[in-house]
Amino acid sequence: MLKKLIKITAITMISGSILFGASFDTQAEKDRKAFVNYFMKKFENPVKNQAEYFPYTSVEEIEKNYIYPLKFQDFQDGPLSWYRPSKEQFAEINEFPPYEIPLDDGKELWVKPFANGNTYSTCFPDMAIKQNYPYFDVKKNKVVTIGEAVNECRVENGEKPLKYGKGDIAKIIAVIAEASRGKEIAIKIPNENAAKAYDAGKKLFYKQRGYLAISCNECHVQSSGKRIRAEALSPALGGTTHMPVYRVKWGGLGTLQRRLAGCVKDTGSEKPKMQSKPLKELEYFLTYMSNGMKLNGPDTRK
Amino acid sequence: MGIKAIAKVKKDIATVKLLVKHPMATGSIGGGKGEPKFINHLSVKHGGRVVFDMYPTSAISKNPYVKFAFKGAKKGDMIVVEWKDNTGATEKKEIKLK
Amino acid sequence: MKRRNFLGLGFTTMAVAALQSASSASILTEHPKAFEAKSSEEAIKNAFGTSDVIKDDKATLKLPDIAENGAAVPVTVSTSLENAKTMAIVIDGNPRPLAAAWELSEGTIPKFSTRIKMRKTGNVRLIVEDANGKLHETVKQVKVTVGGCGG
Repeated sequence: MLKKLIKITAITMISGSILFGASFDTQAEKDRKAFVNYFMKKFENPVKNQAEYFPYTSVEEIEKNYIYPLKFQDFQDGPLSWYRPSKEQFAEINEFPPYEIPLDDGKELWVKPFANGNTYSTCFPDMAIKQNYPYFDVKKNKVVTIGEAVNECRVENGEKPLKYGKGDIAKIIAVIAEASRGKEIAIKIPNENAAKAYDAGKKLFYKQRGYLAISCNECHVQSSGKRIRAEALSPALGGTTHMPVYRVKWGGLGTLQRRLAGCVKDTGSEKPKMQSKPLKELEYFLTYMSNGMKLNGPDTRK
Repeated sequence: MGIKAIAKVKKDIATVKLLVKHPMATGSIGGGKGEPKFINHLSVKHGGRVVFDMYPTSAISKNPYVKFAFKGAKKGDMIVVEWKDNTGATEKKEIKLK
Repeated sequence: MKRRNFLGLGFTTMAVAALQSASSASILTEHPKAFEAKSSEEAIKNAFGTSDVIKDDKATLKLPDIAENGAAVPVTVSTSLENAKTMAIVIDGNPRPLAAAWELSEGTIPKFSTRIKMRKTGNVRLIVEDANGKLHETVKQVKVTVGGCGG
């Protein structure tokens, strides 16, 4: 009887929060719409609005090397969306994408049974789920990334968790990503604690840190569409769609947590630990900003 | 190690793209550590005739990609891809032209 | 190379194929020093017997102006010369400049794509040996940066 009471109470609470759920993402939706508007405006006509957004780029360079106008879904290609030389070079490399080989490895790992006879399909019968990650787990009261979900599956089935960032975990995530290709990102903010996690991620995005005293915002919002020497800066909008990514410099696949940790380190900060609370909150915020964008991972980058 | 192929025929020309799993390790050649291990011969035969004959070095990128085309092909024909590396390892695979 | 002289004597394709599969002579077995040479000039001289090249438009070399990453630079090589014998990519800035060679035969279209490693900014050369053994060269400079944010 008590169990049933608890169950009913739980269901009522959950449905209550679903009914009132809209209120938990009101601010996030305002942020997201403003975010999208900024990028759509910026990349609509860089020649026309050169003075406002690209004061250090000559009109000649814009006309030669910039692709515009960018539609919303174009942003899934990151720096390749607006910078023609990069787009062309990667189109050549993707004539036979290097990620196909580690993806094949991932497919082999996916069907290999655990010691108890189960496989990843036991935990993920439907593999087209990446668009829902990272999600805020109401019961565990924390952000859960796709990497954590994979390791949760392993541990639940008596296997040791995999190291994050690269190697086997990236290959397994690649299998999920490939199955989820084309699905629209749909991150939710289900309760107040989730809104707090989103907020923490947002603050980290805009925080100037490291000995360079630089924020994600300065490079990937304000300076997106510009270059730091040969680095064509990617827009933060659509920044998470192509994961896990085959980076030529890594000679293999890497996860979003790996990418973010490295980027934060580049501000001159201590490298954050993958799957740490702040880095997961950053991933949560960043992915939410790209709600509605189609997944296109795995993909190839420099 | 693994040979992936995309092989298509249009009119009588076959266009073949190959992606071969191989470390193509430069090692000590580039001043790095470890033994060099790289494919040094990659060839493709069609009907017993050599239609692709390449001599790569460790300067070809990891998991080598090559694209080539040859005449006199029909849909459904088989080609034989074979590679050998500097340590004597080899691999052979038959691929159907689509 | 002996094999090439047989081609000139007008043997049939079948006979040539038989000879090719029977003999293991190749640029690798006949000119191994070319693959170990430490300079472009040495590599070309060892591979073809001379480093004299004709700079013309018979060989086409497609490469980006700036490589996204020196570990995998996409390249396409081709030639308009009929019955060319060999094509080779030579990368000036690499510890061993001879990066790859292709031996051509009848029916193979002399156009190849691959991905090369470039250690640093510098010239990439495409050398095409024509039917008479003369060398044609096309050169392109590719900028290679040490870059890529994040990780």
